Amino acid sequence: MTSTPQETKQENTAHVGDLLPAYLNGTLEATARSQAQRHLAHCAACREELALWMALAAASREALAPSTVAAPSPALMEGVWARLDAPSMPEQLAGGVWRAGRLVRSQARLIPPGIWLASTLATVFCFLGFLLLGSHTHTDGAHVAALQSLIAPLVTGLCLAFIYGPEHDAGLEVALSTPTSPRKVLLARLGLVFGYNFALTTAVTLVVALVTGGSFVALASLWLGPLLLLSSLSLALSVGVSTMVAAIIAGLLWILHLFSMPNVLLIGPFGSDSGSLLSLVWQTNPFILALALALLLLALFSAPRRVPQQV
Amino acid sequence: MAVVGVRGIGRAVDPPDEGDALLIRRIAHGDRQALTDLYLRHRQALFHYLLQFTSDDGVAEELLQDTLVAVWKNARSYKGDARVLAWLFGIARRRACKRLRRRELPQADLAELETVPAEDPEPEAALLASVTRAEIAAALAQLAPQHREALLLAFVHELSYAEIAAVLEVPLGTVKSRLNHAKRSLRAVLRAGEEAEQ
Repeated sequence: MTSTPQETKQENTAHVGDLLPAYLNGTLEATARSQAQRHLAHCAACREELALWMALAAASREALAPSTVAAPSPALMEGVWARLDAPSMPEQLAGGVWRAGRLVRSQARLIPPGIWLASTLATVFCFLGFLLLGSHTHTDGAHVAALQSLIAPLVTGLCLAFIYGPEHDAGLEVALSTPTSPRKVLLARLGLVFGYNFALTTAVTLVVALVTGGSFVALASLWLGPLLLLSSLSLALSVGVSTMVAAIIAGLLWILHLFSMPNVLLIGPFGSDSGSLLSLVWQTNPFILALALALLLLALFSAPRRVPQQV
Repeated sequence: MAVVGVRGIGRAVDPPDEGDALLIRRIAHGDRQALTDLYLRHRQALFHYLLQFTSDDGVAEELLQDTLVAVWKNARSYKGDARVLAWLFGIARRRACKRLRRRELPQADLAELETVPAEDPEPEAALLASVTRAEIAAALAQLAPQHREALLLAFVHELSYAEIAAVLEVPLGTVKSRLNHAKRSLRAVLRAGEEAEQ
């Protein structure tokens, strides 16, 4: 492409100040470079500016040269490899899940078999109750849920009293002799035993709700609060005091509640509790759930986080 | 004053460094030796550049490690549009700004800018004839870090305007104005020194 005389004249009169740094460092493309050269040939002002830029460039190369600082440490790359080889966040998460799974599996083998047996028998008992009482007039399943609200809290509470008692549990002693945090061991066992009891109780309620057409939420609310409260109380006493104290207090509370109920010997409607203090807490409401959560946290934080040092 | 348009500022003289580009391709394929080689080639330039952001050698070394980790992870994103060194400076700058929780190098001192005359009453040749290179070097040390950074990239590492704009993440016009500010500031510092001597 050739320039017209007018364009050439304009190029020759236009100053090239902005292009001079690029002209000096050799990054100006060929066309612009020859255009700048043509202009500099007859423009004294731009030549003077070029002289200042040249002085500035020379001084910059001298004063700002990388060789003016010491070289970085030779061990720097070792730090780079260490960071590249460190597990990423998803890998750390996966590792945590895998370790938690391994802990739960190992604890499942160490939990006394009597705990699993008691939970299973309680469930069978409630289910039998459902079958035997099914012909009664209570067709919405409330009688079975009421039975569950008596049986499930007691059984779960007693089970949890025995998951953290070294005096009765050789398996726990083995677990606590490992570097695994006692709190994590407790959490794993709590998850297993409470989860098992909760799953069985929920399953029975679900079957009852499906067969009778009753509301699952309404039925579950009959036993959920008492189950959580007695379980967390028992666990907190077990960790904080002793297994036997936890078991005895859980049993006593249950007996007191049982005898505060009307028609207890008839195993009938169970629908009209007296106004005793126990009957006030033997239900599902936000206060009971918060109390249960507080006791659970107390139990977990009472368990040592680290393995006690052997003296 | 009228200036020639902004066309023709791309790098056409030097093709991208083939050796560096090859190293980046090898890094993208997981070649650790290539990252070590790249480090050995540019460690001094990168370390020196990072020291523009911090005066602490230890922090600069950590930033250099950040940069190399980012290079390892992002080697596939290198398109070859700019020289590898410019790409490395861009990464180093972003790591430095992120780690040091700031977006930019410190702004030019306002008082300093006020001393810069809009028009130059004295011819450059007369001014330059009266100062030594050492005096210019001393004047450089007084420039705002932003201006020194522009001079460093343009004259020491010889990046094109487009490459400097990519490193600094600013428009092309800002690159030119920073270089011009640097020149004017330098002129003001030199003139102030000259007057002090008289």
